[in-house]
Amino acid sequence: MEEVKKQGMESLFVPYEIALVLRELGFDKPCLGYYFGKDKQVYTSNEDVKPPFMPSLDSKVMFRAPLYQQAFRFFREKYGLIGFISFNEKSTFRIETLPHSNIKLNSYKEKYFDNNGELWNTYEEAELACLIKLIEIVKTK
Amino acid sequence: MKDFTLHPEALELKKLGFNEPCFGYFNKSKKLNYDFCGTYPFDNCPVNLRAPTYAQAFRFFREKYGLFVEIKCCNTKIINGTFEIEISRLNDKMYGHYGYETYEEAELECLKKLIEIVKNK
Repeated sequence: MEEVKKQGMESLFVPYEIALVLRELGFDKPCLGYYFGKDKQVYTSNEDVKPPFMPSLDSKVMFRAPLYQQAFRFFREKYGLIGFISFNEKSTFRIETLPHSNIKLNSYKEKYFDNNGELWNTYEEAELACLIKLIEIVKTK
Repeated sequence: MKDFTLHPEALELKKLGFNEPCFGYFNKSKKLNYDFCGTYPFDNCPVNLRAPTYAQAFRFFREKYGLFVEIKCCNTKIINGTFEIEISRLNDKMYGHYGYETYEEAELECLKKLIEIVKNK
């Protein structure tokens, strides 16, 4: 197991708090990283993705750290909800969420979000905001 | 896992200069291994090929070539439920296509198109 602190790879994983919420929502796919206790540093491990796997990973002490792309897939597949980031001519980003055809949140329509009247300056900021918005939508339905 | 690029695209990414640490690599038999590969000593091994995740690949195109992608769901009556892709650079929409049955299919086609755009520029 290796602590992730090289060249921004940690930025591929969702933050600690988001990983906790995703677990509450039922995310249980094999991951390439995990969190340990209250330590917000993500650690990488391949023990969850190849035999004999790592059953202890989904415990109160250790839990999975999904990649952002896994988290977005989780919302697509479990809730039929798609979140994506748009790039505009001012080099800023905005987020959009919309239902897929097998939508389970029947009343939900396509929505655009900004950052309190502003847009996000980086893709990574927008990506996190989008994920938080998806969680909010699912939790408040 | 659906998170890694396939071997042909990983090879093209390497040719385009992708050289970041990855969570996996393809061995000589083109089989994906889930072992971390950093910058050293991995660079000294000519046989293995880094396997970027799709997120890493798209970030590579954003940061190195200023190319941005959107993969979203078509929400019209006719093509409802299929996925569409759009590639842009600043004000310039460079490519758009729709009708992909799955997100993963759209994602792969998007990556292939990004590679093609960069190679042909």
